[in-house]
Amino acid sequence: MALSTILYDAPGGNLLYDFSGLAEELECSTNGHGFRDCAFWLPSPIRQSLRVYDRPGLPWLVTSWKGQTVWEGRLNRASLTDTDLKLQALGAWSAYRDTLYTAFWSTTSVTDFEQVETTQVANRKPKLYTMDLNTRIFIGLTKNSAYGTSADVGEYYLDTPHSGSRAFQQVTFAYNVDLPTGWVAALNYYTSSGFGGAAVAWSVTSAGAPLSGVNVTVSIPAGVTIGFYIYNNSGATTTYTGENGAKFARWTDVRVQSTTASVTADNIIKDLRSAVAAINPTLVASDTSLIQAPAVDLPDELYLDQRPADIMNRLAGIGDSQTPPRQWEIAVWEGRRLAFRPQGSAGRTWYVDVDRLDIERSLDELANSVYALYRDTAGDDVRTAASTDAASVAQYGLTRQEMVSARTSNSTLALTQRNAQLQDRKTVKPSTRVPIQALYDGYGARYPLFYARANDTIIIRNIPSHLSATIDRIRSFRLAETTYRAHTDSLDGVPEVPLSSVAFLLGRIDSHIPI
Amino acid sequence: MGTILRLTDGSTTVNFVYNKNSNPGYLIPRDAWAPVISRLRRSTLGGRSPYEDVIEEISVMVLGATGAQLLTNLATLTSLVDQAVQWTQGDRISPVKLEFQANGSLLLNPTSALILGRADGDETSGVSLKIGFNDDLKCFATTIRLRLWRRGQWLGATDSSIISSSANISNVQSTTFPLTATVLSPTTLSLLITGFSNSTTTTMNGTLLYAASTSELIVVEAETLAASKFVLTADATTKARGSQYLRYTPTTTAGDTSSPVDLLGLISTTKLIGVYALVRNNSASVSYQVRANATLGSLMGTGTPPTVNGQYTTVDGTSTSPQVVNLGTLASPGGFARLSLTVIASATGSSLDIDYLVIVALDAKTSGVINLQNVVFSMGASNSSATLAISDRSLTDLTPAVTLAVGTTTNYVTYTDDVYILTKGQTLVAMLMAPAGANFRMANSSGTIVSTQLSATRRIAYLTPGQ
Repeated sequence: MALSTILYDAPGGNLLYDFSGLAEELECSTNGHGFRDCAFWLPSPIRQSLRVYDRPGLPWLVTSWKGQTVWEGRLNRASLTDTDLKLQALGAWSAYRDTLYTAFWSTTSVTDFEQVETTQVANRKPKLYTMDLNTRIFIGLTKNSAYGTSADVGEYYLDTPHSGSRAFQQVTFAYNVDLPTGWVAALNYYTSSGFGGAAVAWSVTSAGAPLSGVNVTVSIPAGVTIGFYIYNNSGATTTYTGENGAKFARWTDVRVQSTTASVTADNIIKDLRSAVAAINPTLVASDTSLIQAPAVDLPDELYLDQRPADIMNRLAGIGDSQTPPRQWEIAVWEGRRLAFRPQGSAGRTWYVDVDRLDIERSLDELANSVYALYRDTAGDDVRTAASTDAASVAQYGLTRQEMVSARTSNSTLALTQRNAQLQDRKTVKPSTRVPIQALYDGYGARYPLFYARANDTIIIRNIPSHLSATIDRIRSFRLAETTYRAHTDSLDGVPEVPLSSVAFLLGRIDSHIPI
Repeated sequence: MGTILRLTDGSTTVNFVYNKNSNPGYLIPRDAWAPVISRLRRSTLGGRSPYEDVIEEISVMVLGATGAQLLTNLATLTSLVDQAVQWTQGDRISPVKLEFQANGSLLLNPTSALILGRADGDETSGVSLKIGFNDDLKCFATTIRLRLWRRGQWLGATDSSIISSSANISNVQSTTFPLTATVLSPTTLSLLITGFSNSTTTTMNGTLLYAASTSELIVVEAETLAASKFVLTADATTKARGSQYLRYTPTTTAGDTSSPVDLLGLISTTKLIGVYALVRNNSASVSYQVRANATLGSLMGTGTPPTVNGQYTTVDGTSTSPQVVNLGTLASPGGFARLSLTVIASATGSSLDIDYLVIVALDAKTSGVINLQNVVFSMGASNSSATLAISDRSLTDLTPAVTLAVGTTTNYVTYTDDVYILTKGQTLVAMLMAPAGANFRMANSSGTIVSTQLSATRRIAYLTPGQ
């Protein structure tokens, strides 16, 4: 076994230093986001250390074995004394924490619409109208108000976030228009801020009888603002004598998007990758072939000054359209390629023998009855029905409820998140830290220890499966983290969902595990 | 042959074997020293000897006809040790070696070990020594304890192999050493590459694979994996091996598996293999996930041997030129019999070409893989050859190096992986997967494929220099 650890001036760049023969206490770690960090120290006089410390650019560290990448990432920290140099590198996932992202993707809520004031556009006269956003966009005429022709417009508008990276591209809605003859109900889009570049995307003209439509889809060629409005286009000033709001235009089931394609996690993640690449192109790969589609529509996605990593973590937690929904993982491994896929789908299964176990088990993280809380399009808090797993209740002898806060106004998506949370939390996962001495596949073939990574599955083969009814949850677990230590050729694995709180210790398996 | 024990930088020497006439300055008391025997490192990091560095402790009497002479001799010894420390710190001075040959040794020359510096308790500095007159030796004397870090292995004379015959690049070549090394020995591998056109520049991103025998490093022509959607295709222009390659043309994105091929010639006892492929993605927008699958060998027993699948490797559209792709590692408790490939395309409408596969047995310290990046063969008006060298530098430097020499110009090469090559036995085999530009194999401006010849030089290593 002969690992190398080499520093380059950039990913795929020129070799700066080969530390292989000099590095001490090399540790390489992985977690659910890919390569996590790699650290080591080496004896180095200060003048040599400063050549690394002072170097401009972002050096890239690669630890490899016989042509295969064991770990790679960017040099993050260099600390030196007069005799030693300590280096720490971070995996490529860290690039998604370097930048900020502001973008509108989709909304089904009308609460963010605002009235256009006269101070904004001279012929907008909201005071002449009866307007509300009570689960719809409603603009009605007001009794005894005089409306000039092609003037005195009533309009609700919605802006994209200031300096956001995406423009409006599609609006869908249902409409009901009951206006006097000659009146127009329309949808405008504006291509520049301050209501500049106005163009009509959709309109209907009343002939006196009510008009309606459903599932109207309007394409917007990149607008920064959209506005629903009505005005008198009859050719003569009209004084309305009816009751307030009896003549109106109403838009419901409104959805505004910044794409004509589906608003799904994979599309958002691809855009996030592009946004990061535009700022730090050497830190992310252009290939998106490892980004899979969870096929869940995301109706309400707005990001303001957020880290791409935080956004992607949340998207991975939404799950997919399967029954039950699967948790997804977002990670960067070899080649700086971003991977988005069902958790563990690319993981391997390893068989290990252990001579020591430290196990914690607690009901703290159990949740076998889950409901979701979300805010609907009217802005009201709504609680879904609770979903309870009867088998889990019978196993643990109690019903433990939990609420998951779903950041959506869509009931279907809220249910998806509820189901994903229940799936993940209905079974108590024991917490252990497992020192692994050797790694085998299902046929008993041995692999180097550093092959085990986060999201791989470990099966402890020297714990007999007949010991207890729940023993399988101890002998088999998914790895949340791994740390490989080259100087001792040893591997520590941390199972997913490590628990805190009071623990009990199991000693040597053959004398301490209770039956 | 009498005992030799000396500290030297090649110019200044401190000889510890006392001779009243020729070497009266130093003496090691009888039975006061025997060399430490190193052991294999537990650390898996390469780049250096696989044996632990050790502390050599030698009790030395420093002598002098006068007190001043004694102090001069002591200063000479101290300076050499200081020089070893400075060299380790990167000063541009010669390294210091400890040379030793036991009494009665059959070796023609002493063995050497690099000195890396002082260990705690070394008395060549920082202590006040008692100097007295030794009645037996009739001179001034003081005894100090040398404690020095040295490389674990004793390295003997160089052993140069017989250069292989010339062959087209990307063939497995074999070279034979005259002597047999019984301990893993540091080796410099040299590849003479000939047939370049004068005044041309060729850039290669390639992979060098090496092993201890031809049964540990085999080439499989990809055409032997032909199946539906994996079609044998003639190559007239891009220097494919055998003038043909395998073309995978997907009709869906569900993935397809090639026909399996027998791994003829692969050592049956290997339990860990690496699979490397030379491929070309013909699309800048389509990515391919490629995986090697191996049917385990006959050592698994009777019945239908199982198949193990490797991990998928992504071949994206970043490059539409031939490139070496690592398809990962496969392990077996009982050898390997057959190999196939599974390929999944991200979209249809394009193709992936596979020229050949190289399988190397990885479960030996005498096999390895080195990726070479941006190797520029810049030929002058009178140059048509280059020498690629992976040098162990085991007695001259702390780290090995990879260089490319063209004429009188030598440049360092960027690489990945451990380049401290070790050999035992008498054979070294190697192969350079060398795509360049649009070609699967490097060729000159006339389209003739360049040739290679393999040779190697090693320092035969010993754990005890008593042979």
